[in-house]
Amino acid sequence: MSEGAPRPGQDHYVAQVRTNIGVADGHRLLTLICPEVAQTAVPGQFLQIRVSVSGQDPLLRRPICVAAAREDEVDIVVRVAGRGTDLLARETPGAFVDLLGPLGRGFTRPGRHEPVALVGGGVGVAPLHFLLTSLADPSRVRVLLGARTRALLPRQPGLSGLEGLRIATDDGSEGHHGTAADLLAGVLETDPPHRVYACGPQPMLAAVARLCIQRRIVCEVSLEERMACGIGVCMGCAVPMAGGGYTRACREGPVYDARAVKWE
Amino acid sequence: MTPDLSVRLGPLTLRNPVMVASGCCGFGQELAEWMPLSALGAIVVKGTTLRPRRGNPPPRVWETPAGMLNAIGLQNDGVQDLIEHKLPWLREQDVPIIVNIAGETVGEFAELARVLDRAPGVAALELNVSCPNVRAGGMQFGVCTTGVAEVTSAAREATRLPIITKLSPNVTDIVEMARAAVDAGADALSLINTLLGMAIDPETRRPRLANITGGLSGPAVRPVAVRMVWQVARAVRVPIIGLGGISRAEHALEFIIAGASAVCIGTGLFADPRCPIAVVDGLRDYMERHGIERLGDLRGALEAAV
Ligand SMILES: Cc1cc2nc3c(=O)[nH]c(=O)nc-3n(C[C@H](O)[C@H](O)[C@H](O)COP(=O)(O)OP(=O)(O)OC[C@H]3O[C@@H](n4cnc5c(N)ncnc54)[C@H](O)[C@@H]3O)c2cc1C
Ligand SMILES: Cc1cc2nc3c(=O)[nH]c(=O)nc-3n(C[C@H](O)[C@H](O)[C@H](O)COP(=O)(O)O)c2cc1C
Ligand code: FES
Repeated sequence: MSEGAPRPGQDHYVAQVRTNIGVADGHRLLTLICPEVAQTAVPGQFLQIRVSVSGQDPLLRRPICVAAAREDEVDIVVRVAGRGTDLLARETPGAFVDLLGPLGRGFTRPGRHEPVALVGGGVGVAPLHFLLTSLADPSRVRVLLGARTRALLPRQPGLSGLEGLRIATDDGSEGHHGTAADLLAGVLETDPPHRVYACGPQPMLAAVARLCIQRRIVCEVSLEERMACGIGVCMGCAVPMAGGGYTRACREGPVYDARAVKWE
Repeated sequence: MTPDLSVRLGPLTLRNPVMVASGCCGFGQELAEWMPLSALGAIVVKGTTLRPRRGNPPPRVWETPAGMLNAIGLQNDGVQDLIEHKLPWLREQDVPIIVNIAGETVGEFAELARVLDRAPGVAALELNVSCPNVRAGGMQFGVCTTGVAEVTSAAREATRLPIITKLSPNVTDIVEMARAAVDAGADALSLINTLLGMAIDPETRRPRLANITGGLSGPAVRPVAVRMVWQVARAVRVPIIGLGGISRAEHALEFIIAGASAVCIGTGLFADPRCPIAVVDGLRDYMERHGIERLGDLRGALEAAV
């Protein structure tokens, strides 16, 4: 990457909301009209979305992953976690959303026929869905999804009906009674994939990383560190590295090789 | 009439008064992906120390009403790396480079100033006196007049470069600190650095930042910063760089009218990395609307019955 040169497609956009639908309790799927991002975003990359009209309060943009990209539009899945995501989740069709992106380093694309497993926790399924839709042969992919309970499983169109889909809920209300990491442990016993991609809460990622590192399976995780700028200028999004020191989740991440990260 | 936005900062002349603040623009490369650095009056690079520093564990940032707390812990690769790997690129960008330096002892400030004196392309040094003084048990240099004076004069003696002392607002009397810096040889003053703050998660009873306390910045601090610039501008004769919560021309104008010669944008870059361009354009518009030929004519032009 040459110094000071913008990354492909990276810019400031004002995108119109095309649709806003519910995909789980407190989860909205927004489709934004933004051809430049749709054409350049790589699965795993994120957008920095302004959530206030004035840009003064809330002051900071919110990092949100690209969940799908089609010709002129991108999907995002927003889980209402606080004030900012609540404002974003309420945007109605026709409204305009101010965003920076696509940002960060995305997933490494697997080989054409390489067996892969995607492990998602809650809204963490969003970037994995984008990865799935970009694969040559999605039908062969194992998709392992976890959530606290059935009502919190994001029903992103394109996921249901998938042959390789397995679900886990903490309370057993749907699928396996347990976590997505449990499902992965099972898969690694019976039919290990070549590569694992994971996004979700930190404890789930730590468990997935441990399993894959033990078995020497290539694993990439997408981390959610708190961010201020999202563009690499503030050093706010420090991720501790196995080799010592910190890197920036918004630049060197949010996707990391599981072995490179220092897991607590 | 084309308004003249150029300003003098002691021995420096800037093409416009809009600079970007230390710690909020890295070393320029990432910001250059969003705007040409040559559109800026100057760039103040991330706080640089003698040796590399890893910085604090996460979480390092926390958003607050119209502001944010940060405790980055001066993560940087040290002054040698700056000179070998960052300055060569930055020198090509046609923007005056101000290096923000931070030492743990007075001697470290002097050493940093000496090393940078010989580095090509450095326009000035900004002294971050808000870092902990290891000799005084971690108390900041910037919270007592002797600390401010010692650091400023040590740097002054070690370099011919212009010296800008950046004042901490976490003091009872900002004017006293400003006088101490000027008497010790500062060519200009920057104010303000962040206000010390803290936030707690009541559910877990844990601090929001791993470092427990952090520096408050953004729109929330602007009134404090404007007040301090106004007080200091009336007390000293050196130029002042005003900062704290600026992201629009109106904000910059507040500081200039209060007495600042130039302004810096920090946290504003996080919400909009192109806002410095809008601030410059907005200043030009304002000058045209008000028939002001030189920006310097507006400095300290507060209309008040005092
Ligand atoms: C790279 C990345 C991708 C993400 N992708 C998605 C996504 O696709 N969909 C989705 O719903 N959420 C995603 N998140 C999490 C989302 O950014 C946070 O839930 C959101 O910022 C919370 O803001 P708030 O105002 O609603 O909550 P508040 O808790 O009120 O936020 C307060 C502050 O904390 C920050 N913050 C809070 N939670 C997080 C978190 N988990 N990660 C980072 N910062 C946080 C906020 O940005 C804000 O500055 C992602 C986070 C990262 C870092
Ligand atoms: C993330 C962050 C990092 C900072 N790092 C430094 C630094 O290294 N040296 C310094 O003198 N000031 C540092 N500051 C302070 C800013 O330069 C500035 O003085 C302060 O944030 C107020 O301006 P603002 O409201 O425009 O951000 C930092 C501020 C932030 C938000
Ligand atoms: S969020 Fe600012 S450097 Fe990553």
